[in-house]
Amino acid sequence: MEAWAMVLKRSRWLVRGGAIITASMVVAGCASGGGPAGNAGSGGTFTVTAGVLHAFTGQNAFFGLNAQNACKAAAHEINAAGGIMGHPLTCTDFDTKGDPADAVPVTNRMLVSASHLVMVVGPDGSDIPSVLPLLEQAKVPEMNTVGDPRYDRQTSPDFWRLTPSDSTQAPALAYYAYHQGFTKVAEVFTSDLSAQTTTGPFQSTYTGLGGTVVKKLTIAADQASYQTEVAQALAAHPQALVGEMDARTAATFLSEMRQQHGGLIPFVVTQRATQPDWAPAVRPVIGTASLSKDVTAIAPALRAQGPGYNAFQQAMTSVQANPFQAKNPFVAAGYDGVIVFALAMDLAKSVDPSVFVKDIPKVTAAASGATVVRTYAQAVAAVKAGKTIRYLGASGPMVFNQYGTANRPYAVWSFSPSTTGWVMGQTLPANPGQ
Amino acid sequence: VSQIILSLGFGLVTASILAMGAVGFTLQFGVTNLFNLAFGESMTVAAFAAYLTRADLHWNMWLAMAGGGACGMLLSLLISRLIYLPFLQRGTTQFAMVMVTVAVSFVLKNVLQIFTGANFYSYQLPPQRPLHVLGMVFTPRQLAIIGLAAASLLGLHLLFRYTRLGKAMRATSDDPALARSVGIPTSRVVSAAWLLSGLLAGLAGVTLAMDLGTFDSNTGGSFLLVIVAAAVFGSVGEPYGAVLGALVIGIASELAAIVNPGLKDVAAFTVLVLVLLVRPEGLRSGRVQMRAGVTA
Repeated sequence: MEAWAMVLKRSRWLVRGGAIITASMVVAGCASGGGPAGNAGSGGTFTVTAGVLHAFTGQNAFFGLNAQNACKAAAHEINAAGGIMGHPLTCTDFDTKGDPADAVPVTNRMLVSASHLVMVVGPDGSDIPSVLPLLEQAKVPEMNTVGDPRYDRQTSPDFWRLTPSDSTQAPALAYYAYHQGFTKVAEVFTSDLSAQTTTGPFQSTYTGLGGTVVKKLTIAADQASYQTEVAQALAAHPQALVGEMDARTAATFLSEMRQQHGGLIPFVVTQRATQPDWAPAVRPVIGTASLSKDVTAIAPALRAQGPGYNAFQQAMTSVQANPFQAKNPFVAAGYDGVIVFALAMDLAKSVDPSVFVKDIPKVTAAASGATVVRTYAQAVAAVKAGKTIRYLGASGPMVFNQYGTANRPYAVWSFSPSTTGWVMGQTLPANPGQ
Repeated sequence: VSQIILSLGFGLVTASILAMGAVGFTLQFGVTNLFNLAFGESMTVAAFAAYLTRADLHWNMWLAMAGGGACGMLLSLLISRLIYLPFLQRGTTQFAMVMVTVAVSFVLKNVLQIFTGANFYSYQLPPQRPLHVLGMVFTPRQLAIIGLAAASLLGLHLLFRYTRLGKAMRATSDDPALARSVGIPTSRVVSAAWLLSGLLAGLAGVTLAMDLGTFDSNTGGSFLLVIVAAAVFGSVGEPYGAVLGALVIGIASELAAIVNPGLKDVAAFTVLVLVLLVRPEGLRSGRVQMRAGVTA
């Protein structure tokens, strides 16, 4: 009994302490205008914030750099057109370090401290399981480029996926490999969730097309050596490798394959290869010629032309982004996402997330009689004129399905030795192999 | 069978790098009694130092490796003298010292990241024709790494066995107070241990970066766990045990990859746990000569 009394006494202190801390945070948040815009009062012109919630340090830092520049470029265009109903948009970075445990306090800090938070750009695939519930609770809409098929049928009104699910990437990989004449392939995926979500759908589509997976290897990332795995893959005599590996793993695996085999066999890789860290890691160890000849990436299509893309490219130049980022479909999608959210606020005539969130899909829907707009300024003018709009931005059509995912076609990307960047080739059919 | 022999060869290369790292780690622990978790970052810094000498001074790879080794020595000595020693002189507990080494590793990694960013670097070594040796496949570069590891470890063996410094290290490790009382300058001996440990960290870091093809600011740190495992396997503080641990872990992980690549680390650490169950002090417990509470 005495022990229980002690516990109860301690609990009371804990409750009191917790209440004081919570109250302090609320007061601090209110004093600084922090938190979602809907809770912060209205009236007058104030700066609204897009929280860029990504890894900015560690192995996945490229996610943060991509999202940061996408957001800054979109904010540049929005602000040049007078802001969102006169409110300037600013992008503020919050570093999750790519770690779901670190992401939680960072998200809480963002929710309390960000002034008039209207949207979140992020999080990464590794952070989203821990972060999404917090954002839902705070009723702040987020836009992501997470491939995880577990979110294919989610129903959260605050979840908006700007790029297709991995479940649609895998059929594209299978379709391309089979139609290149590779009827026997070895499958090499790293054991992380992002890569593993592609293997099952790939196998079913590829074997359904008539291909044979002669060796299936799931490798742990960032090992000191993959010599045995390479020997096993080569021993199965595949015509090509199909898979996904992070930059460091790919560099080690492919350099060891080159050592053992005297060169590479064709490697059909997921969109992971088009991320900014991949080619700089792999190119020095296999050579530019081999990277452009032997490695093909299957990634979402990006037309890289037209007025929407031109506006994006100019905005990227204005914010001094790396020129290669302007060729990245994920950066283009992030830029479009911020503009789409801003236009949803214009349509709803409110910066309150709980009000404008329902208007997000309306901005890009292919409604009959809608006026196609390519830039934020065009769109605002059309909205003011009372027209129904359809925004077709830098990354092309971004039509959200009922689960908040914007599926789009995949394309074949190859590495260009002259531009030392990935260049889009043939667009693959939608739902290939089905 | 041919696959097993192939994997044995691949395991030898990994084990050679691991052995240099594990011996460096355990040697320093043996003399100073400090579990230095910043060892991996010393490897990374040395790998970058070698990269700079190649990229800016256009040194060949072997000279660059010597530069990396020298950098490892200097860094190791500086950290020990400027950071660890003041803590030890104030009687900081062993657990707190481990936390200090963790803090040092974070500082080193993040300072390095300021300069290197999140980018990957490569020595850009030309491809080599593989050589077939007893059913195993090596490149000349890998054979050189195995040779370097063997030479380093043989050198250490000779040092411990036949030189005054080596004998002084063993005496200091065994009983520092007694060593001091017979006139051994233990402070210098400890400095020599830090230098040797730094040299091995440097060589392990550069050879690891060569073998991986590319490296970044996380490379050494991500290899630390297997280095510690090899050291623990052979009894921490016991250099010969660390070599044995490196061989077992390096080869076991490659052999496990034949069954399932996902089992690489599982096999290595299962072997470690089994050995520790049978011999909690590690494989060479009872023969340990280099373990004591030397602080200066």
